[in-house]
Amino acid sequence: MLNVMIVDDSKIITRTLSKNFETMGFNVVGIAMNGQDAIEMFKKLKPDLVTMDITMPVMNGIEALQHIREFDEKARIVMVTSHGEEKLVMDAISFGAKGYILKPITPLKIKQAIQKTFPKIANEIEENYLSTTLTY
Amino acid sequence: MHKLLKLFHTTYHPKLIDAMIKANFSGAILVNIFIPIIIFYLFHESIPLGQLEIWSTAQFLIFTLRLALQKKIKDNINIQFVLLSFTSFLYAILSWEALLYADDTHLLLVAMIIASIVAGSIATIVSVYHIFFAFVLIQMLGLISAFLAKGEDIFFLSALLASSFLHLVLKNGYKQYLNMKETLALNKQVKNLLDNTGDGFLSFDKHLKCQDGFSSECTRIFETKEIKDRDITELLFKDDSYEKEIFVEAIERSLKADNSFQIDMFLSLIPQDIKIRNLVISLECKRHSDAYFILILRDVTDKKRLEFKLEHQHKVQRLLVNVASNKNDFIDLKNDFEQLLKILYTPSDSSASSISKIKKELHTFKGNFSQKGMIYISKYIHELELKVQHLSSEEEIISTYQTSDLREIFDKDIAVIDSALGEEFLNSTESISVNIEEISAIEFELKSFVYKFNLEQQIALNTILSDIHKLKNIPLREMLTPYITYVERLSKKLDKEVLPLVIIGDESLKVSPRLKNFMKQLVHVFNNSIDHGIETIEEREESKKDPFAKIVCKYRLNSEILVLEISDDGKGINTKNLASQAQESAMKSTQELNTMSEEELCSLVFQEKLSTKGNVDFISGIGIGLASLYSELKELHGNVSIQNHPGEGVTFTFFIPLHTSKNQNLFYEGASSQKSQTILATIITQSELFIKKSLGIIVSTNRTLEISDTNLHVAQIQFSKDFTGKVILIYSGNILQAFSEYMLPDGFEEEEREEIYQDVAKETINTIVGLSLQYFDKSIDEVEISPPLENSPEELLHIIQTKELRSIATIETSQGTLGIIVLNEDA
Repeated sequence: MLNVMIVDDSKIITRTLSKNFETMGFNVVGIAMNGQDAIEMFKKLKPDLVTMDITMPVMNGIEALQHIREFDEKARIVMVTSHGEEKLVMDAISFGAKGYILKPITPLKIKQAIQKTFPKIANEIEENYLSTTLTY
Repeated sequence: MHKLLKLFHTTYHPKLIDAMIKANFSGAILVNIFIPIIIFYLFHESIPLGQLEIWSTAQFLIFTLRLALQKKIKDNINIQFVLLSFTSFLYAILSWEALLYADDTHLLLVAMIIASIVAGSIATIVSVYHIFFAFVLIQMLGLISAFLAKGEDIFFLSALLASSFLHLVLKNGYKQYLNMKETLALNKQVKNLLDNTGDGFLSFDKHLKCQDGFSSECTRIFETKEIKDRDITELLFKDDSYEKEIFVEAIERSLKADNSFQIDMFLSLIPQDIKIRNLVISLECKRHSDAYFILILRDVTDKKRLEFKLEHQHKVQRLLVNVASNKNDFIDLKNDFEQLLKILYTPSDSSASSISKIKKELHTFKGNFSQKGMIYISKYIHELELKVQHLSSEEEIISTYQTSDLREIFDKDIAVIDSALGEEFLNSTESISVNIEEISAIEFELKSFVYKFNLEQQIALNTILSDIHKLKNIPLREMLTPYITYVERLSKKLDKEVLPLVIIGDESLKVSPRLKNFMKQLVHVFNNSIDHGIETIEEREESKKDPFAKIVCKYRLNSEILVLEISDDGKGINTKNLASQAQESAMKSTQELNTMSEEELCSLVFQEKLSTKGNVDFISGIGIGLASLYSELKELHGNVSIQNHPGEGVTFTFFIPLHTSKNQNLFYEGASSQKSQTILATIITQSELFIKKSLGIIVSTNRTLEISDTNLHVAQIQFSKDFTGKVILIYSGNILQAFSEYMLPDGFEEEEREEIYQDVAKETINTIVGLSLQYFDKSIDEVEISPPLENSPEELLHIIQTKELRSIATIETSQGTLGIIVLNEDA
């Protein structure tokens, strides 16, 4: 299954995301609390998917995204964002982000974001998602 | 011919020809390509070959350039125009070249070139219909110029050219015309389809300018038909809104995007739900070609409203559960907050310390309120906190608080609770819930030692006892409120427009639980009202009534009689129909019916037989329901009157005495004197004591009397002097057998049973009354009692039903019941 890395400075968000990813059957391989750590962690773990907060201390998500894409131009990064940050999301997409999840985070939104990023495994996610929603 | 083909193949590659034709400049192309070839073929000996070849090659190059460029910029008419001018200019140079030869052939050539330029330009710019006429015109010009050139050969050539060309043009033009017609029809179909999807479709270009062609929903959403050429953002958003910025940015970014994935991503970021006037519109944007976008507008107002309503209901429910499950806690919170509001609104010291105290308290309230699930106030306090955050001076802070709507917003929340739980709920003093059994236990305990007191105290205690008994009563409102939802649901089901049921009456009125069954039967009144009485909305409009029907339920207490009125403003009861029904079912004779009053006729609705007919109109489905309501009413000794106003509505008025029996055998206390109450109380106490002592079983007493006919025995003692009246004991169940076993421990023969029971019944009443005598108070100082008598159950019923002045009680035991009646015959 996919290896996921979560980058977010809010513990609530990281907890929600990892809980959701795990119930969908993904491995959460790492959690970084800022952009700087995220780059180092990405180089080490080489995850299939990164969820990236935009506003973070030390280094923001967009900078981190650029660095990661420099290191690996195939890196799949999904931005985690809230209303009001649309312009930043557009920047991120220009820099190669593969999608975005608008807060508040719901299993449905995560599912949709992953389906867009990995169209091939959409069906598999669909099944996992169904079981997720059922157990909720 | 071979030469021609060779030339054709070398100069004009077939693929190019194909592309040219496809590029839809067929007319112009033909002029440009074939004329030089034919001329070359016919006149290659008289025209210097080199010149013609140069000419044709140059023309070909220009043409290719034009095609290539045109393909790239076909969306921009301005640039096309420039391009045309440029190519025209090149053609002009070529024409000049040709003119230099100054003979007839060349003149024709020049004429044709000029014609082709004009035709090409027209073909590019105007629509197909016009090309057709343009070409014909040009050919005419060609013919005229050839004629003017006076060369017969040339005229012939020109005519030949023209006819073949005309044929081509005609053929092509007709094809174009058919295509166009088809396209137009298709367009119309598509527009029809789009108009009927209910969604708004429109397209706009990269300059955000709306294009022609949009579905009719768009005109509804924007409230204007002038959509074409308007700025889409101007239609969608208010000036300077953040949403507008995002929209523009998303469009701009998608124009610069590298791939379709990015385009989709950018466009997915445009605001999804926007407000246009009072509508909520969901937007979906797709890029449809390099420079055009399609916008789908969907009106989701109702959906959003429903969502909001559901969410609100959900919140209200949460609030109510929280409040109701911990009422006292909530009342405390409410009082505390009101206290704080009082302090806030009264001008007081605005010292920093007191303000920080208020701030802190408000913050605590915010937390508490949000925990309770208050819908408005906690959010409002939060907003207020944000506002105050930036204020530095104490005066400003206090005035912000004082000018705030804290009270209004808080009242809004309280109103939500009041409307659901009744105003009484929060305003009443603190309450706790008590089990009915607990009340009975208290009653029982009190009764068990009533006899220990003197008569005056006993009377007082008895009042307390009856008060305690009243605790078991249920608020009448509670039994009626379920009908609000019932009416709403039924009217929806039957497709009638009915306003919410209005219940008018004292909210605190409580009645005995024995009214429950009757109140349940009221459902039939509402059924009939909505199903038969209330007309459809069309019928109502026709008869110029308020389209929304109204059902009102009123109640009031009229000296111990509950008056309950249910009225609707439907079409009323059709008494003629009822009468003919009654006649058909042979229930009433014509003669009888003729003498019946309107109200008597109406009351036929309570007849069960009428219902079974199942006729349409008011009667259908009535009977059994209303008949069972009626029998329930009769068991309560109630009555009903019907005020029928045909065409305007009907009112059912029920009169229910609150102190009569539920059924023929259950009796409640009638009016009673102090004396009979005293006697009853004493006798109850003594009876209970006697039963406990003799039978050693637990008893419970209530102030009703139910006479069952199992082993019923009745004994009575007549009182005289200070109190004239009777004390009657009614033994039922096995109680008399138990007494007999107590009094005759050695047993008795079976055949003696009835006789012994009668003796025991008399003996028991004698003992109990005898024991009671010493506990009567001073008002009944001296009484004489008769020896015990025996009554038959029939006599007993007669006594109870005819004597209104009575006090009643029943002592229930595991062995049976002992009924006590004290009749006051003083009057």
